[in-house]
Amino acid sequence: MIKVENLTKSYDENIPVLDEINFTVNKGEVYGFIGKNGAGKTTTINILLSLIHKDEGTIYFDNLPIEFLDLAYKKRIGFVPDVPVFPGYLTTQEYLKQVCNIFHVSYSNIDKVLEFVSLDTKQKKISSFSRGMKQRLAIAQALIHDPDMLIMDEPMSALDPEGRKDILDIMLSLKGDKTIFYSTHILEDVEKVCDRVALIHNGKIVFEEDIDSIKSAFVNKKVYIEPSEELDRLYKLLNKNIDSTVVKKDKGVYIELKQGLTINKLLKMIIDESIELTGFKQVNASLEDIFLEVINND
Amino acid sequence: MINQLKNEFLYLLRTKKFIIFFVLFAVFGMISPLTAKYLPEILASLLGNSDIVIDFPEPDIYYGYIQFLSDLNEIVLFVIIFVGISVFIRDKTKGIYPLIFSKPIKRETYLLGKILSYAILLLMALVIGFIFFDIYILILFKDLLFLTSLQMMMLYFLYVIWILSFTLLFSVISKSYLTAALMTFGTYILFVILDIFNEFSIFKYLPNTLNKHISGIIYSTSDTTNLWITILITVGMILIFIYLSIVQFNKQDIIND
Repeated sequence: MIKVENLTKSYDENIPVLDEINFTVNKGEVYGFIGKNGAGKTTTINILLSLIHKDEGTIYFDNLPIEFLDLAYKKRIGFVPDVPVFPGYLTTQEYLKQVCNIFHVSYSNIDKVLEFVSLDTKQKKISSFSRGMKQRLAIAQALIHDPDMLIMDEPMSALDPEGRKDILDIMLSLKGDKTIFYSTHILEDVEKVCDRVALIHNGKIVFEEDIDSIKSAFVNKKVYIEPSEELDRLYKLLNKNIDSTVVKKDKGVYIELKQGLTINKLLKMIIDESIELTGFKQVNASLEDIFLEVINND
Repeated sequence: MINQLKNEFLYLLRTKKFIIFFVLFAVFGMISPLTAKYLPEILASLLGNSDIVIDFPEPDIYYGYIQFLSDLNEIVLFVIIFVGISVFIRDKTKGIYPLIFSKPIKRETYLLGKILSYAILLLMALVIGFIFFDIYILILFKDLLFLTSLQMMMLYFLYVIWILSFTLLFSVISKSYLTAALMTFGTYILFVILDIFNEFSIFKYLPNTLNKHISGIIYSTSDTTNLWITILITVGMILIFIYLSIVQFNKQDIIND
């Protein structure tokens, strides 16, 4: 649906914010665009929305290149910002009517989208809304013209856990129906809703894969060992003899398997020291572990 | 464009700008003739028995018109500029741009909607102001120069639109209200300074000489040919400033990281 080729952007001549990035968002998928703050996520979105110019590169929407201020393309997308700012003097209904007029769609869509986002505030002024309500309204206005694609820029970054769950539920109910480009740094949410993920770091795409592939690439890279006693002795032994991160947690230790360290070597070392074990398990890496590993290795 | 105008009118209505300007112009429409008529008497009574003697000419209807023009230029104009900058730059400084321009809205339609709606508001307020002014002139001076009022209103409106056209440009260029205000007033002052050298032929047709033409119309001393040239130059400059605003806005990055 959307394809980005060699996208480059610099605010300062010597520091590229985006350095020839490439990615493809397929039709119908929820595409997670992850990266830490300042990685280039919002810059990418601002370029996708023609709010700022790109320096180099091409963006294709349905195989057609998008020009700056391309109105035909904008008719087919909806945008949900991280902190939506509305004209506070309007009521929900007045604002959504204005949006309907822009897209030339019927006012009857207003009730539909408000019901979808569970917002029962048609006559209320937007200035009185909470953050969560504003975020629901942002989703409502983005969906009112039934766009092919939704671009969401960290839509849950400033919400409380309850608000986050509500928005996540809305996203899950859109899954399969809309193509969603979802930028975030909350990786827990990405795992719940996304089909594929791209990690952007220092203006470059580090990887772009489906979530299961990423996880399987990183699986079995961590183990948990629980001794029957002598936790401190085990911890000291591992710290002294292996060059991996060892974290003491609960009644055992978490060890990263890297630099030639295998499970067999690890167990042999422990048995040689006659330390009795009551627990051993391989730990699947979370997206957050993967994210941190990739970023820290950079 | 109609939708954009409707949105802007709703904004001007909800933020009470209609009421503010209607009241402002109505108040000055009343105060100016009263000041013209009674200021000499008020000053004379304030001086009382002092030795200072000020010889005031007998207030006449022309003085009423000059007083209104002076009030419009000295007080009302600044309100028009300050509110104008706010109208033009508000969406940018409040951070509403991403939600507006992520939608299929032409940037030129947006800008034209802004200046056109504000111009219509000011024209309506001017009409109200001049209605009050004419009524008070008629009551206080038992006479009315209706055609003069009409010409004065239209020329002042043109003058205001000229100022708003470069206010729009600077609001587009600037990132903050303060910068836009400084650039606008800087330009206004520049034209005032150029007016000092109006013996040079090019400067005597500048838009800010419209005020002199209005005075000339009041006293029936206006040079019609010069006035028409000035009107044409003013309209030309308005179109140029609006065109530059649109060109600048269309190529601008409207989010600053």
